[in-house]
Amino acid sequence: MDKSFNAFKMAQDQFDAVADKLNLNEASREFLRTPMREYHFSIPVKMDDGTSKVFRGFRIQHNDALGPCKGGIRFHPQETVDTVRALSMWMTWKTSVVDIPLGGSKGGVICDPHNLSDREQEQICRGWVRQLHKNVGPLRDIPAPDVMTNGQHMLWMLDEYETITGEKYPGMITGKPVGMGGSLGRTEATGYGAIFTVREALKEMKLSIEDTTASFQGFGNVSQYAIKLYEQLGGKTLCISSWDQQDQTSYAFYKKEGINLNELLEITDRFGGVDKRKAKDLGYEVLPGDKWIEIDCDILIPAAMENQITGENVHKISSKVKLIAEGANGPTTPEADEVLKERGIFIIPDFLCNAGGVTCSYFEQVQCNMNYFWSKDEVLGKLDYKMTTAYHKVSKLAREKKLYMRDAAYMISVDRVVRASVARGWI
Amino acid sequence: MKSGQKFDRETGFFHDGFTYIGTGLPGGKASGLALSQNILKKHFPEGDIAGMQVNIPHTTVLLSGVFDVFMKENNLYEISLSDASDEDIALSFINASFGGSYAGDLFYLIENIDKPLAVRSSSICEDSLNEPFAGFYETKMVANNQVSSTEKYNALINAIKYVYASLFFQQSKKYFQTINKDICKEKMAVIVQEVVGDRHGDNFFPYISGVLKSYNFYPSEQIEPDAGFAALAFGLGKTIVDGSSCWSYCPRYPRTPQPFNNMKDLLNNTQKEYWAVNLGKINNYNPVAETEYLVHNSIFDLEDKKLLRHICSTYDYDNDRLIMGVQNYGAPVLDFAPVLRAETLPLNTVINQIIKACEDETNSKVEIEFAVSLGAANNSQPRFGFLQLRPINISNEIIDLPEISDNSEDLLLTSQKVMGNGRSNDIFDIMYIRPENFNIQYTNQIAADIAELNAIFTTNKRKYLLIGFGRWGTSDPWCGIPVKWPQISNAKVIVETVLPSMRADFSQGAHFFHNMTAHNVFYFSVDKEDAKNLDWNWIQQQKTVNETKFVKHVRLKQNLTVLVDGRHSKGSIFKNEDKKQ
Repeated sequence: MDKSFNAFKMAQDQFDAVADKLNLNEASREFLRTPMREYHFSIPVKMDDGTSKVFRGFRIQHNDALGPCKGGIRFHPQETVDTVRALSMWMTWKTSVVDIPLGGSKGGVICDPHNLSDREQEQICRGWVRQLHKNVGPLRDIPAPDVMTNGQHMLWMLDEYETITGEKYPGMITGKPVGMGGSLGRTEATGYGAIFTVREALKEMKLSIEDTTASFQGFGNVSQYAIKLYEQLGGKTLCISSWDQQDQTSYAFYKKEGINLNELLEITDRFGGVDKRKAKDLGYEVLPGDKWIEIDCDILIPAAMENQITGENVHKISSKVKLIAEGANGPTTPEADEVLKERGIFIIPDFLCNAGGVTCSYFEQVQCNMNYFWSKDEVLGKLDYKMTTAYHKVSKLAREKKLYMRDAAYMISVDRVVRASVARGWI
Repeated sequence: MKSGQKFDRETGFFHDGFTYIGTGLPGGKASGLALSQNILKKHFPEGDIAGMQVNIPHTTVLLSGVFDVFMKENNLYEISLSDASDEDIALSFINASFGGSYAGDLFYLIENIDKPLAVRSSSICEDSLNEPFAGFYETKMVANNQVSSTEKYNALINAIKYVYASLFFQQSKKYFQTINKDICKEKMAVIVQEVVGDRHGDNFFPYISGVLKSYNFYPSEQIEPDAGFAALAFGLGKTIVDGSSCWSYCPRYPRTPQPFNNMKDLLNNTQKEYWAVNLGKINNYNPVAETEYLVHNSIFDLEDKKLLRHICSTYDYDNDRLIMGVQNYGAPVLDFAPVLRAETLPLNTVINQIIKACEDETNSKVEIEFAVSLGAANNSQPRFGFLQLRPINISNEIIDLPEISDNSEDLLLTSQKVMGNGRSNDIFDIMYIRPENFNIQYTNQIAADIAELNAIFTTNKRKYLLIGFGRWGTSDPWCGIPVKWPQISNAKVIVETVLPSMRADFSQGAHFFHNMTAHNVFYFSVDKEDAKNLDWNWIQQQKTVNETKFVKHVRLKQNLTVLVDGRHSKGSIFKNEDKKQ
């Protein structure tokens, strides 16, 4: 990743541009371009070898005008507070654009779980909650899994919270395993949500999904379920890229007649890495990882990392591409955005396209607060309903005001947050 | 045939005509509906006949591809093809998920409808001319009146899954085995259709449900077969489909009295109960029951008897006669006299015009299901909802019966009321209900015994002659033998005859008869007079192969010859003891 890239600056630039379009007053700009609250703290942990180690933790609550904050917790050795700030702001826009009554936040701990035992990770989780138990919870701020955290981490955190408060609060955190307060459909939610928006976009573009082809960046949870639904609806996937842990680089796997999802899943490790030797045997062309963007297809779906479509590689996108659906957070830089606008490529912006995850997390919280759990069909039906409704609101505004889709989405979500803040008498 | 428009969330359910969701085929029933829609548009572009609105109810079809994805995604074939009970199979389906492809469309669908819905099967094999699957699969009505859209949604998808599961119920699997077809090749589309009717308190039902056939396999003596017949019932059509008491008449001669022996006979055999969708409290949550959202009421409990004004007469006890319409005294009798004789509704005019249009367009005899509602307000226009159209297969082979003397020793039986047309020379087996042990209390047990013996015939791939008392295929065990079609699937000839304790009454179970027609099964109705010729002594002398307390299977030394003259609805069965035909 480009080390000069500052996600928070990019998030602020995006916000400033929208603020201009909405003609926001100075107070609103000032209030929304920086987080409402930030918690920075230390988590001392007794390591397995008897030594003590101190980890730095954060929780950034960008805005809670629409409801309790919602956002993931990342465990990453290169974590920076600016990245977490940016992500918390994007969470505010994301919950707002799909019209769920939540604000935005993000948290993290600077650590590398690969080098930590389960016990050490548990201590970090419990330490994180001990520092923050007064500032998170079902009515304040609801964490969720994110980069290198999972359902087990969430359960440790929940248990610590319930131990401290002496009460049961299954809605304190989401992303829990099914049967332990988790929601059916959560695993599929982000990938399916992205394809729901793709499906609606294609309808508007008068393209039959059965006649389209796509290339995906990444082959983790989001991509896998997105490809599954895309193919069920009739689309054909030509290429996926995936990170190779051993070679510390990514590869793209291409098949002209279309990939076979089940076949690839059988040769994929739990981090989404595809065995390139076996892939070759199955007839795939194994290409450098960044080649996914150059494939002659109708749809590009970056679904793994931020900062993937840049000023440098945007010109390599095939002239055949008509739609980019941003399954990942922040995959397109502002410079690349300008080129895409000029080329007339239709964009489904990240905080709309990948909002299926947070929407399903919201459903999980609702179910937990009721302590009554829904069927998978109920979850997926409501998810589709929410995502489709949100998509059409954005798309309608974009058409009516002749706006770029990202700008339209920002305008809707920022406007909602501004109105809520004004209604509360904050600004 | 695929008609209508792709389901669109913006315009929703209430399209003109019908919409479809998913990919694949629409199935027999939905194709029939598409054809009906085209016929109505062509012949009655105003959507009105004689002041009655005529249309097909708002409908969305889940095409067979939805079923394919559902089965595959949830790995349901394993339990479906196992020996698991029907209930276990249905529960497995209900616990499975539609996944991302269709759950959202169904959620949108239900968000926009607040009327009771019928969820019907429309399988690829069902209702086609050559593959009779009519009435095999379940239909489920849902009240769809819950406050929360989530509850409505769950009720709808559970109903769809239940209909899917019914493809793999025991009777269906046995049937596929019988006809030597791979059940895995069957695919099911599902019709989600607005129930035609009106609300009456906590109940919702059509004023009249009906089945029309433009060819009558049981015409009475003065009426020609192609004059057709119609069966009418108050409330949901389940009354007719189940073979319960309803009112039959000939649309060409609507004023012709029905052949009841006397007033008591008429009073005993007219409809007294009706089915309705229950809009009130559901006491028994049971997603694997067809009747979960239905109630079965007595017409005598109707709060507003005037509701029956178009369809009933009143019994005048003192004079032992019927007075047309609702009177202040006497019991209502559903003989549909006001609508058929006094034409208080133009129903028969509509029926005749629709039959003609459908026959012209399909170039064949047809069977039609419909429902009529009066409309909620007093000045509302009545509505004829066209529910189904199915061509009827009538063999054109001409059979001339030989002259028969009643005392001919070679004659096993003869009848003047026979369904079907053609000949058969390949029957060596007879299964019959033992007259000496017959008791009307045990008709359910008799049905079970017959099913057991039929299964042996299925395994051995043999056809047989079936003889019993009362109405075959009735749902009322006091009227006859309550078998379903798969339980007698290997019968080539079916005889209903009489005992002093059991009056033979012709069945109107539409699906039952459609199956018989399509399989070219001959149906002999043997009344008191003809029953004298039925040679019980000879039958009982034949070699017994299997027997239960109530049923016996005998094997013959010589094949039977069955001759049926469909033009005159006559038929005879010969023993062939001395000669070969």
